[in-house]
Amino acid sequence: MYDTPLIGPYSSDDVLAREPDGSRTARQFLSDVVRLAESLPDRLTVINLTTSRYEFLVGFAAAILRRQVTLLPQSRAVQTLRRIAGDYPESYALTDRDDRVEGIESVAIQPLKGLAPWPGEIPLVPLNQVVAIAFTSGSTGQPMPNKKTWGALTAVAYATGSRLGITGGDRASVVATVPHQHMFGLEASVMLPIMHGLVMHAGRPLFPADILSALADVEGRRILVTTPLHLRACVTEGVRMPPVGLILSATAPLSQGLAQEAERHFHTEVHEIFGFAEAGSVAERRTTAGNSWRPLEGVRLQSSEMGWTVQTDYLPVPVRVPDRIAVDAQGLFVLHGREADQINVAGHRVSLGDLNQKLLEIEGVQDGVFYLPEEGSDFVTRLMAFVVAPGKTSEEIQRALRTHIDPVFLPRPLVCVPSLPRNATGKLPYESVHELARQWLQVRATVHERVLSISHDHPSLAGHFPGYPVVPGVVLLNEVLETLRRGSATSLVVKGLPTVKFSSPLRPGEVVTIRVDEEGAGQAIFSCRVAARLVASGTIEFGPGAAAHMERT
Amino acid sequence: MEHSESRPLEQEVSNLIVQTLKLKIDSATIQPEAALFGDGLGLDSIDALELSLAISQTYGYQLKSSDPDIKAIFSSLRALANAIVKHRTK
Repeated sequence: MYDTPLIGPYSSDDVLAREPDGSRTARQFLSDVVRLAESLPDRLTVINLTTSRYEFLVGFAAAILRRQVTLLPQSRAVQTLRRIAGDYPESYALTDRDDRVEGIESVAIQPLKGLAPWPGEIPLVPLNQVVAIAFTSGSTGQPMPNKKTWGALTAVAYATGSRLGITGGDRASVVATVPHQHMFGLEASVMLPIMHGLVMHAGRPLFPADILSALADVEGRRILVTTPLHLRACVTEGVRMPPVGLILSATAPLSQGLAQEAERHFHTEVHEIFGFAEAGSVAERRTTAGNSWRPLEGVRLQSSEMGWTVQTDYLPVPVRVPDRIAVDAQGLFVLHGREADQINVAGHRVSLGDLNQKLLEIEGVQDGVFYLPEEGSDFVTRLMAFVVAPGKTSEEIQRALRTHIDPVFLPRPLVCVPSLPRNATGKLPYESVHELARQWLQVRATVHERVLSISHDHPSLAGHFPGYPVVPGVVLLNEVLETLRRGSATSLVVKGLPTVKFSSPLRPGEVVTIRVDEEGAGQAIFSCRVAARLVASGTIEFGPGAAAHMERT
Repeated sequence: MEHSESRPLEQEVSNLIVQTLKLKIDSATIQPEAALFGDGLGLDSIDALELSLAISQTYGYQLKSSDPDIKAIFSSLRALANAIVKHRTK
């Protein structure tokens, strides 16, 4: 195995990156890398959490020179980081200056200053050196490591560049909305620019106005590396953008309609990358030109007993494609949906089995299942979850989940149910969960409303309070429950009021509007208002009558 | 409290948040001073992006991360309503 240079065709004074306070030349970069490499602790693995894309790159390169492997966790959830640090005890975290990860040795990246002379030779990296490990979620709940060699990352960068007509010394600038710790972000917003001598914008713009100013910050041909979500936002907002030479989108399928709108809006071609953490980027298409994906140079698709696999010179073993695909005679392919256990929310791929496992690990949860409703909107479709946890509220479970899973996967909503529709063998068929979700989504719209007032001579008002009559909370709550009972088709028993909040006093004679939203599965939320003023709000748990139709017999 | 002119807007923005993000809560239960992101309502950056679009379309106010007080603006319902009052163009 031979060695290749750390960066592509730059001269000493060529701009390599653009930070908010100015440019970083290639000479500055190498000087920053060498300096940081000298000060890194003597460990085997590093979790690089730096916010600036440039500082991430400096940390990544310095780690490579020190033969340290950069770990790419799926999320910044503290629990995820600790689990990975537990699996790789030789780890430390490289963080921003005012950031530390509790429970993990943290090294803050220092303000970089000083400039070393341009070295006679750019540092070389062996092609077979493992430089990164990307984690994917396994169905067992354990993160699965995917080793990335320098050879794999550089090969993908060259193959992507040659497919998109990005040539050495193009001097284009790359602006990216995707995180650099994500596999696609690492490939398209870090490796692609540095292998081709491009300028990397260090920011990570979120809102359309941010994308506009990031694009305006850079010169020359602009390449925007982004996702369907950001494209949808830009098109909807209608912000006029500076000329863009190329858009590269990944992480979720882009619809033909949005691709056409984006091409019109940005006056440029929109290309998509198909890939997955196990193999990296494997194929490309111009979305408006058709549905077929064209494998990148060097990528071969092979049919095997475990389904379609990707084979390349840089992957040690064939890697299974996690989506169902159909390959034609020319070697192009189309996607036919995902494998049952694998889902993707906003570009984060996860195994449902993994999420279910984490849900079951929460104290007080007896049973539970995640479900991804059919995609329907232009925006991100969120997961929902059904949980059996007597005595727990959905807020409590949600709070516990937040420390265990990437926030993007937090269920909206999390519904507490008396039991899950498991079959005789204890299995939970997908169709049953699908039906449960369908029923839940259908009944959630049931709203009951009553308008009433408590008269001045109501018996409860005696002595409550002299000279300042206020309707006691219990009287109001009784009316709330009555609203639910009257509105409900079947008889029901109220089990409790897990949360109740009295926001302002209700005086006798005031006209109050009581609204109860039946959420299905024995839950309802209510509010009481006098005009716009909130008097009381909270949640009701009831059963089994009204909730009986949710249970399977 | 200063910025009392934003109070009537709080309920409106609260409704906008619940509808846009399809949250399973009554908009009346969003506390004006409670955190919207992280430990509060638990919103994330995708929500921020969706919410910014809805705000831009409803009030003509385009949010920007480089606004020096962007963190403060998104810190609570009240702060967000105040910012909308200050910057709205429709």
